[in-house]
Amino acid sequence: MNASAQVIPSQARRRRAGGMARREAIEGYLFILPWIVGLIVFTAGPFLAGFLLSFTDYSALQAPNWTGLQNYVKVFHDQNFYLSIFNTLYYVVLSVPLGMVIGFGLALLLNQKIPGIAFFRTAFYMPSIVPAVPSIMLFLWILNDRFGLLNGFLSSIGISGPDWLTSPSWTKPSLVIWSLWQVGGSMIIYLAGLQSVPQELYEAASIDGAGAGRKFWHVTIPMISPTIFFVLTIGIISSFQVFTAAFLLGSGNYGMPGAGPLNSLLFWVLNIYQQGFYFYRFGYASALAWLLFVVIMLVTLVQLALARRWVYYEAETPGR
Amino acid sequence: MSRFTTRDLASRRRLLTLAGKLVAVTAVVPLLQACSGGQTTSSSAAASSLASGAVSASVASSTGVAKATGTVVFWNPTQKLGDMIVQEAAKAKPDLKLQFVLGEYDSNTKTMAVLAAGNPPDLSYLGRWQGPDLAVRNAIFAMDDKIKLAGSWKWSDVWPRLQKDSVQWGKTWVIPYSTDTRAFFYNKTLMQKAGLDPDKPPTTWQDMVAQAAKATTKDSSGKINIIGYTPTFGNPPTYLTFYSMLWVLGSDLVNDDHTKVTLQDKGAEAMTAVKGLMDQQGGYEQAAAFTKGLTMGTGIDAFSAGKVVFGMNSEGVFPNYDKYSPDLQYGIIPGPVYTPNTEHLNYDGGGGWYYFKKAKNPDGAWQLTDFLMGKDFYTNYADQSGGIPALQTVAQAWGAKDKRREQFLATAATVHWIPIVVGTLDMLNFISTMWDDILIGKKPMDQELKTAADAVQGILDKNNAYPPPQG
Repeated sequence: MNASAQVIPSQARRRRAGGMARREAIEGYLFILPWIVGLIVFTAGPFLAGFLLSFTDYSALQAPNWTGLQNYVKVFHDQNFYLSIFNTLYYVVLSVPLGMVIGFGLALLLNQKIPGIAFFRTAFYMPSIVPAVPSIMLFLWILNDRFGLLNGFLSSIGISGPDWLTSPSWTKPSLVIWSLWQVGGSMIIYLAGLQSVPQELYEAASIDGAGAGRKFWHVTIPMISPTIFFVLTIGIISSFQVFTAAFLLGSGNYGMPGAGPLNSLLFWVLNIYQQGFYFYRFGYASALAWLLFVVIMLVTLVQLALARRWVYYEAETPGR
Repeated sequence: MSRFTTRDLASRRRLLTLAGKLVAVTAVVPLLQACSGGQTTSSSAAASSLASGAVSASVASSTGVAKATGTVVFWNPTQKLGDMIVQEAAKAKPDLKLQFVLGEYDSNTKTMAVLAAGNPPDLSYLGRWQGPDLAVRNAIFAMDDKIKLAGSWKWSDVWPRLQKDSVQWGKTWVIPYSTDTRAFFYNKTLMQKAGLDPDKPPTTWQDMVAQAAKATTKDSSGKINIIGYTPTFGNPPTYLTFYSMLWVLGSDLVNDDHTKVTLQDKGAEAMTAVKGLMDQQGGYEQAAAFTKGLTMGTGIDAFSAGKVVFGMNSEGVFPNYDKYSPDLQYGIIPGPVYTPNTEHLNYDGGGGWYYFKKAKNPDGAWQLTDFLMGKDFYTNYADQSGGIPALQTVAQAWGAKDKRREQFLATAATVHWIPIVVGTLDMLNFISTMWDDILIGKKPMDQELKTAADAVQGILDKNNAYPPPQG
């Protein structure tokens, strides 16, 4: 066989391979097309539309008029905006660490090899898959100041429970308590993280004389730090966007989503919803939504920057 | 063990390609259809039909109720009532094709979404306060020309105060359908336990305060166990009491033509009276617990559970009381008066039918309205819905079905409601803030009343600055 005879089939093979790659690419795009269309139409489109609308007086029912930066200027003169920031930060600062610690603690307990552990894992995870509406309705009953189960229990042990739902000092802690009922989601992620820690690391640490505490701090925590980072990031983002639970727990205003006594449950997203759907100020609501996006983005970027200092990725270890 | 060949690969590839294309097409086509604003033609038709007032002359009957073609899409916030309309209309008007969609009442989320998308229902039952906000944004028809030609009912039969609430800028934007006037409920058993005469319920505010304080009981920790009077009207928000107090004191939030705020005239007196009552019972925050998360089991509220001695509520509670608390010993009278005035403590509300400009079948909507307003159906509907019919003659027939309803009808002609303007919810929001600031935040009353008054005046000024909307 001469050289040219060998080249031609090789080129033909390459052409065929190239054609096949193109076909595969096209087919791949066809498969993900519904998702891409969905992303453009239902996510990217509204995202950009919201940005443009934030510079208008859009009411949802009429064509918008361009108002420049007016909405953004108004935001900083709106007392409810600052109140909603305070309420939101209060919730984020309280619910995220508590949820992380309790979720992690439960995961540690459920990582034990004892009989019936599957039942306990299911039992602790189950509340997190109960939709927010029924679970909040349940909590309205549990937390009822006078007839609720919680205060009934506290009363039985001689403690006079607080006015969970009617005192502005207690509405946010009530919401945090509800959020802790949902820690099953993060618990299961921690559990997966814990189970992926190589046993040989614990064995090696034991040989070196490490006790349970040292193994926890020097093996477990570093090895699941990416999991902790993930739960922290997702937890902060979702806590900034708390809405459904506050909407239901704070119901009490006529024809308006309840913001609780003294607007103590007026969270950032609830404020957006009120401004848009109750006061017909979609332009202003869009400005609030974009500011929330910027804040969440900044917080996430800071977290990413700080993560380099404490999150350990095994694959990044030099020399490996 | 089977061998995987290139032939298999080719056929699998073809299958996957086909499947991919099918998935893409089935996902994209409906999406494009949904986004394709195919409403333009029908919107124009709807607009020309209703706005012209010509009542589709070519097909209009002598009563002005045009024969509908196509399906009429209507919204109702209650599944049971929507189904009832469909079933009853199918018997009485077999030609009328209906599609019921579960709607909303005191909120606008879904309504705004369909209006923004240009795809509203033909008619929707919403809170009657929504008229000006929707009208000024060119979303609904004025119904005056249709009303003149109504077949099964007469506008003059609508309670006069509901007529007044429905008209803005000289045009009628909603067909009122219900009004939920409240009455004063008193628990005879609890009154007796408190040493009060269960056959002599308080008929004045002053008596009520004294009796409520006497009937309130507390546990060993000082928490209210049974409350004398709970500041609610069956709805959770307690601040509506402020409006009612102004009314019983012979005043109002704003003047009659909605040009000037008047809440400061009697505002301090109203808030002082409410605060006094709440303080006597153990404080507002504790009292509010009896209205918050009020449900204490299926069909049982704090009153029927024997935790509230006096309360205001609508007749909508009767079915639950009859079913779940058959042994409850209670009486009903019109709300107390604040002597020397004669206005009864009360509160109102209710809904009505709205007709959207971008709807597809305005003639059908009006034909359905004619059926809905007919006395037989309307009486049955009101029986199920828990509200007083907006037509006085129907209300009388409704009242005759249950003796307890007489107490609601006794004040149905005189009861007040919130001022209905563009920005009604804004206004409520300011009053709610003022109420909480005074009763919970302990802020100075005069200052809070002034802040609320300035805000309300701003809303009135804005309302009055709008050019009259096109009907």
